[in-house]
Formats: sequence, C-alpha cells, structure tokens
Amino acid sequence: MWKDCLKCDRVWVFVGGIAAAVIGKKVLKSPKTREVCVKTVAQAMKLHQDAQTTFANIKEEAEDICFDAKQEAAAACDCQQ
Amino acid sequence: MRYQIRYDGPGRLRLRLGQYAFTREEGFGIAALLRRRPGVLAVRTCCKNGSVLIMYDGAGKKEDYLSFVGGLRRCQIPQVEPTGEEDVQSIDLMFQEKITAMIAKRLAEQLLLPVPLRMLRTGLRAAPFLWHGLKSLSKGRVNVSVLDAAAITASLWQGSFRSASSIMFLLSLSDVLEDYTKKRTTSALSASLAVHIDTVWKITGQGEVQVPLAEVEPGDQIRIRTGAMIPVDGKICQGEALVNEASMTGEPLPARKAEGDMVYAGTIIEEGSVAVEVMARNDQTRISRIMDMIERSEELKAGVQSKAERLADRIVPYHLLGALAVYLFTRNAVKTLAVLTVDYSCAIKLSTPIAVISAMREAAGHRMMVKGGRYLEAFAEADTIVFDKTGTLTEACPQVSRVVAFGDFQRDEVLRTAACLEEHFPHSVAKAIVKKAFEEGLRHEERHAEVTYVVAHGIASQLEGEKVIIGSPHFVFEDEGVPLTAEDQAKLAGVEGEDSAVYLAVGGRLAGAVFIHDPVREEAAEVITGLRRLGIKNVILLTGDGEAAAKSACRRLGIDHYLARVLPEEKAAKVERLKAEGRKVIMVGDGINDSPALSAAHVSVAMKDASDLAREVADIALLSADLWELLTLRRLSMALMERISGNYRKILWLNTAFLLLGLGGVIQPSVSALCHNASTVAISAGSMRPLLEERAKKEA
Repeated sequence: MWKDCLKCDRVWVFVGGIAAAVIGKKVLKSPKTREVCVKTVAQAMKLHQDAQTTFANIKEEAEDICFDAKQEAAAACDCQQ
Repeated sequence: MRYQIRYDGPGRLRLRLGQYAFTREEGFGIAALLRRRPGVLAVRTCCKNGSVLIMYDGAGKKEDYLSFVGGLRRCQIPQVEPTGEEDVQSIDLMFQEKITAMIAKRLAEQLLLPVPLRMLRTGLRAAPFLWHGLKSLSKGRVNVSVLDAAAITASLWQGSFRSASSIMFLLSLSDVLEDYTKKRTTSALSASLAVHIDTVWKITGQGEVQVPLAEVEPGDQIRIRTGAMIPVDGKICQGEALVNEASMTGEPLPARKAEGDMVYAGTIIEEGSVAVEVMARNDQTRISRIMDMIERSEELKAGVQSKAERLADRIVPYHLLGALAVYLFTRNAVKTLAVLTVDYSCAIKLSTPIAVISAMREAAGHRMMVKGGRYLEAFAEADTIVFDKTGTLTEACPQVSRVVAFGDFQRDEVLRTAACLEEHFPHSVAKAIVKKAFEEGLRHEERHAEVTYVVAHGIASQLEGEKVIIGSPHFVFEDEGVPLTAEDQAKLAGVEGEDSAVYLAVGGRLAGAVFIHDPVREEAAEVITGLRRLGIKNVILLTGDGEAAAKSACRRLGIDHYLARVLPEEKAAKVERLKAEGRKVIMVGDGINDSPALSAAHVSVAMKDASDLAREVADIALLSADLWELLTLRRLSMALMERISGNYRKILWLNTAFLLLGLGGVIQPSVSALCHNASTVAISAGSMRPLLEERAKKEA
C-alpha cells in the first residue's frame, strides 16, 4: 500500500506543497530575506521617484522649447508687419 | 539654496534646485515669497524636480530673483496652502500623472505578464466590481454598479478575459476622469470666487479700493461695515462697532469694539464701520467659507439636475431588462455584452452638474454670485421681472432738488433738522440730505435724543421736548397722523413734480418736505428692452415713491406696469400674486425693505450696493454696479439650459448608435465600451466650455 502511495503523483504534490510551505515560511521569516525585500521595495520607490523627476524634467524642457518657438513665431509676425 | 539655471529667456527664468529640495507646500511658499518681488508676474514650482519657474516683466530684475533664491534657507520657507490657480494646476498635474501611470501599467501588463498571471489579475480586479454590484442588489437597488458587474460577469462567463479586463480598465479610467472633472470644476469655481467675489475694501492713499482678499497683506488697512464678516485677524485703527463673536466665543451678545481692540476672522459686525489693520490673513476661515458656499450650492441643485439623476437611475433596470431580452432572443453573449457595456446614465449624471458648476464659475467671473444651480434655471425660465426703483433702476446717488417749508418753519431749519436726523443712517437718500446741508454750510449739532429707524418708513426722535419724525408720506400722514391742511396741500400741489419727497414733522405739525431727484440709470431702458428680447414678457416697477415719480420712471424706461407708494409687505404680496397667476418671477432689489419680496420671488437678485440683508436673502448677488449684468445672467442661464438639453440629445443619439452597432456585431463589446466612455468624457469636458462665448457666436 505504501508503495502504491509513493507511486501516486498527488501524494508527491501534497508533500512538495507542505515542504514548500515550511521552507517558504523559514525563508520569509529570515532577516536576510527581510533585508532583501526592504532594499528591493526602496529601490522600486526610488525608481518611481526618479521616473517622476525625469518625467517632470522632460515636460519642463519641452515647455521651454515651445515657449521659445512661440516667441520666435511672434517675433517673425512682428517683422512681417 | 543652490540652484542651476535651466532656462533664461526674456521674461522667463527657470531654476532647478534639485530633487527633494522642497516639499509641495514649501514650493507654494517659495512662489508666494517670489510673487512679492517687483516685476514678478507668475511663479510655478514643482517639488518633484525642485524647479522654480519665474515669469517677470520689464520692472523685474533677474539678478534680484537669483540672489533671493540663492539666499533662501529651507528653514525660512513658509509652508503655504496653494492659491486657487495653483490648486487647479496641481489637480491637472495629478490627473496627467495618474492617467499616464494607468496607461503605462496596462501596456506593461499586456506586453510582459504571462497569460495565466494576466487571467489571475483580471479575476482579482473583477472582485471589487462584483462586490459593489452584489451590495447594491442586496439593498434592492438596480444601479450602474449592477450594470458594470453584469457586463464584467458576462465577459468572464464567456471566457473573454481580455474583454473583461478592457471593460474594467475603461471603467477605472472613466472614474478617474469623473473625479478629475468634478474636482477641477469645483476648484476653478472656488478660485474664481476667491478672486472675484471674496473681496475687501482696502484703504489706500487714493481712497478705498476693492481687492481680492488673497492680495491683502499684514499691515494693510481694510474697511468693514455693518453686517459684513471680518475676514482677517487684526486691530481696529479707526471707528467703533458692535461685533458678534458667537462663532468664536459662543457669546450671543455683541461686544463693543473700538480703536486699539483686536478683532478676529469669522466674527460679524452687527453695527458700525471700522478700519482694521490686518495682522494675519486667516486663509483657513476664508477658504472654508468658500467651500461651504460651494457645498451649499450643491444642495441647491437645479431641478433639471435632480431630474437628470432620477432619470439616470430609472434607466438602469430597463437597460438590464433589455440586455436580458437580447440574450433570450439571440442567445448571443457578445451582443448581450454590447448592450451591457453601453449605458446612458453615466453621461447624464456627470455632464449635468459639470455644466451647472461651470455656469456658476462663469457667473463668478462676471462678478455675479449665484448661490445655487436652481437659481440659474429659474432665471432662464422666468417670464416676469419686478424691479424696485430707488437704487435699482435709479442711480445710487440721489440729489436734493428742492426743500419746501410749511407753516412758520424756515427752509434752512427744515434742511438742518432733516440732515441732523438722517446722518445716522447710511441710506442713499439720507446721504443726499446730509450732503445738501453740508454744501449749504448748515451746521447741525446733536440737539435731538436717540433716533429710532422704522424700516421702510422713516426716522423718529425727540427735539427740545417735541416729537420729530421724517420719512415717507405714508409714515408721516397715515401712521403718525400728521394733518395736512388745505393750505399745505395747495403748496405741495404747486411744487410736486416727478421727484420723490421726504416729509418732516415737528410736534405733530408738518414742517417741510425735501424733494429728492433720483435719475434713472443710463443703461436701464436698454437693459429692459434687451430683457424683453430675451423672453421676459412682463416688466413691473414697485416703489415706495409717489405716483408721479413712478409714472415718470416707467415712461422713460418703457415699463408697462407699476405700483407706487407700496410698503415692503405689499411688494411681497404683489410678487406672491404674480406667482399665483402662474408667472415665473425674478425680483431685483437693493434695500432692507425689498427683502420680503426678494424671498418671495422664484429667483431674486441683489444689486451691488444692496443692504447686507438684501444680499443675504437674494439668490444672486451682483458685484458690478450696472444693470447690464442682468442681461448677461439671462443669456448665461438660457445658454446653460440649452447646453443641458443639447447634452441629453447627444447622449441619447451617441449611445443608441453604439448600442445598435454592438447589437449588429459591427463593433466588439470592448470597442463599444471605449466609445461609450470616450463620449461620456467628451460630453462632460464639453460642458466646461464658456457658455456666453458660445451663445454670442450663435447670436452672431
């Protein structure tokens, strides 16, 4: 009967699941994992803020270019008149 | 603070102080400090990259701004609330970021996430929608949440995760857009009220100048009069007043405040007029007052707005039944989904309040304070307008034309006594009498006892042991029973013209009459003609003045009906009668005596120089001095009603078209959902466009 059990895939999946849960709990609770997670989240937050800064910089520089273009167009109109 | 010059052009300078250089509130503080420098036109800051954009004119010096920013220490920067304009800009920016993030996230999910994970995510995202739908159903409500849940469930049931995900994405996008549109409209209304309506009288070298409260700085002096709320914390530097501090201390009795005493924002002047030196501008009180007003205005929804909401809610069950019928007849889930993804209610519910709030904002821009959407609706529907005469149709600066003495009284004595009594009341007629006495060099010492003001009638007091009264003929001859002899009558008949008269009686005998010439406003006749052209059928004049004055004003202004010598309660009764006849009535007035009629009308308008009570009672307060704004208001309100019905038509046709296209299988449910949401947003955004400009184009 035991041999039959060992041949059954579902049993192995069940045992594997329990092992994964036990190991996973250990890993998650370890200080090293916590440290890695904190660092990863901090990196992601920094990345998010940097992306926002870059986006703001791009937008402002584009605004400045548009302003210059408008000024030039206005000056050209004045010259034609 | 260290900075980099990122842009340096004519009148435009952009500095960058770096990431984390200042917080959002500190950014507003830097902007506020820079705006005080000479030549600065506008300042914009962004805390994300620490940028400061300064726009300046010829009077500004770049070096000055650079040294100012360079000399700033972070600990010195005040944390400031955004101005109205800054608030609108922040809302715009937040919306742009939110939308960009949503679209980027969706693209990333579609490109990078494996299919099983995407399916799992779709299932998880569907849960809140289904939960809201079930919650509504459990309460017996069949609303838009049920419709959304049904559409998502149908997609998932069909195994079309992509379609379910698209529907949810569009619904979220539509929520963000809805939230943004509402926030922006309210914020723009608040900013407009702060600039145009929330104003104070600042005392300057050239006299008193009306300025937005936001521009008042500590050290400035402002004038506050009877009935007004004190908008700042400060010290009285001139005058005396009874101040009601109940909002602060809970004490119901007003406290007497004189020169040197402190007064606080939010308290009210019950009597008197004071000049206050500003010590602190209590922005919180000011902003919360504006927000209160906006909240109240939302309670005073236009009837059309409430109708729209009811209609939108009523449509949903039929919509669900329709979808069920489609499924029963066609057995086609895609077609059923097409019906479920398109609904009429979202656009109706969203576009109508946005149109109303935008119209209120536009009115504020024209210096008109509309206290609720329903008043704009009533103004558009009105067919009768009732005007008070003095101060409304006439200039607010009447002049004394004649002074007539009776019996053994002398003319100068009559004028002197009249001025002595009238100087205690800031009414335009009283001011005219006091001015005339002053011009003629008639000095009047305080010889009388305390004066009593009888609203809309006159003034009574004691002079050297005798009762002295001054006021309308009704007050003097009927209420007080002063006899009018045949001789007096003959004398009066000889001088009575188109001017109105104020009578003075001493010791029960008629002493004299002061005739007041009150010319009609230059624009009044044209405004009345314009109102007729815009659908006002009846124009009525109500006045406490005599028959001759009323008749003359009507002749000049082309008014067909008038009632002369009316008392305040008679004015209100007349308005009630008009309403009983089925007319929609607008009442325009300015005095305390107009207040009953103002509250009786369907919609009431108080003029610029109206008494505080009249302004409080009126539904719309004008802040500019002329009558032209009545035409603007009529045009604006009519344009608003046209826009709302135009929106209904668009919503009906567009959504029906999407529905039919979906039913016919021409477009997929996700495309019909996209079309539906895009049209909702487009119609709502269109509702924010200026109404008057559009109407002017149409009229042209």
